Amino acid sequence: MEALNENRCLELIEAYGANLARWPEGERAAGKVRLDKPSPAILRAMEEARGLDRLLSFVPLPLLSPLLTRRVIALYERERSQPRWAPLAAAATLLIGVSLGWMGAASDPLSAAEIGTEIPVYSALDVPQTWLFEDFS
Amino acid sequence: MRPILNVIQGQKTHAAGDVYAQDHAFAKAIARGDSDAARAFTLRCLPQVHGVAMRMLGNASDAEDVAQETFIRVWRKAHQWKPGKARFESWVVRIAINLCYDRLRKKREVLGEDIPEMVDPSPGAGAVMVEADTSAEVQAVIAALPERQRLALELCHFQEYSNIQAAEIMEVSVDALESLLARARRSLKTALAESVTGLMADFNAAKGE
Repeated sequence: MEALNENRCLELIEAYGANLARWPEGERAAGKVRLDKPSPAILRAMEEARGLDRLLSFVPLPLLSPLLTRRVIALYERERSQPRWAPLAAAATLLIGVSLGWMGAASDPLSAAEIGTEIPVYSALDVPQTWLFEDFS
Repeated sequence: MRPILNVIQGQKTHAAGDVYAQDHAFAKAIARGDSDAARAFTLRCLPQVHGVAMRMLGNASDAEDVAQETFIRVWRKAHQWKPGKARFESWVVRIAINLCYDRLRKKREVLGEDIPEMVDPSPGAGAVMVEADTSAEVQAVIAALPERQRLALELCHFQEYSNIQAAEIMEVSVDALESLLARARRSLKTALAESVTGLMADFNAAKGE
C-alpha cells in the first residue's frame, strides 16, 4: 500500500482530527502508512489534533428525553388513525365554502323578483324608489 | 419480531446495497402504516435529529419542537422519498436542518439583527472562560461557530456520519464539507489554544512516563 502524500495527510488531520477511524474510509489505509513514518509537520499536526479531539470528547451528546420519543411515536399513531383522504376532504370543503361565499357576494343582494315585490310596498310608504338601488356601503 | 424489522433494524454502517434496501424498507413500511417500523425508525433516527437541532438552536425546547415537527413531516411524506437521491435518514435530517434554519431566520427577523456568530475567534477566548469547566467552555466555543461549520462538526464528529453522508445531508460536495470541518477545527483550536496546549502537555507527560 502506497502512503498518502503529505499534503493530503495534513488536510485530513485538519478536517477529521487525529483519530484514523474518523477519516474517510477509502484513505485510512494509505493514511496509516504515512502516519507510521510521519514527518515533523505531520507529528506536530497530529499532536494539536489530538489535543482538540480530547477537548471535544468532553462535550456530551444532548440528553434525549424518553417522553419525546413517546410523543414522536404517538404522533405516528395519530397520523395513521386519520384517513389519507382527510386533508383532501378538508381542503375540498374549504374550497367549496369559499366558492359559495364568493358567488353569494358577487350576486345582486336583491333579485329582480324581490325588487318587483318590494317597489309597490315602498311606494305605498312614500319612500323614493331610488333609495332601493343606492349603494350605502 | 416481524420480518420487516429484521431488514430495517441495524447499524449506521453497512454495505451500500444493504443500506439502500434498508432505507427503502423503512420508507415503505412507514408509508404503509407499520407501527413497528415507525417505532424502530424513531429509535434509530430521533437522537440524530434531536442532536442536530440542539446543536443548531442551542435550546432544548426549540430542539424538541423541531424534532416533533420533523417527524410529523416524515410520517406524512415518507411515501414521497425516492431511493437513489439521498438516503432516507439523510432526507429526514435534512428536513430537521431546514426547520432549524427557518427558526433561526425568524429569530433574526424578530431580533432585527444577526444572531452573533464567531467568525474570527480571538486567541484569548479560552482565557476569558478560564473559570468555567472544560465541557462548558468547549460547548460555548462550538456554539459560537458559524452555523454551517457547527453543523459539519456536529454531523461528522458528534453524530459520526461518514463524510459522504454528511455532505449529502448538508447538500454540499465532500470537498466543501472538508473545508467547513477544517475551518471549524481551526477556529476551535485558536479559541481553545490554552486548553489544547495544556492537554498536549499532559499527553506528552503521560507518554514520557
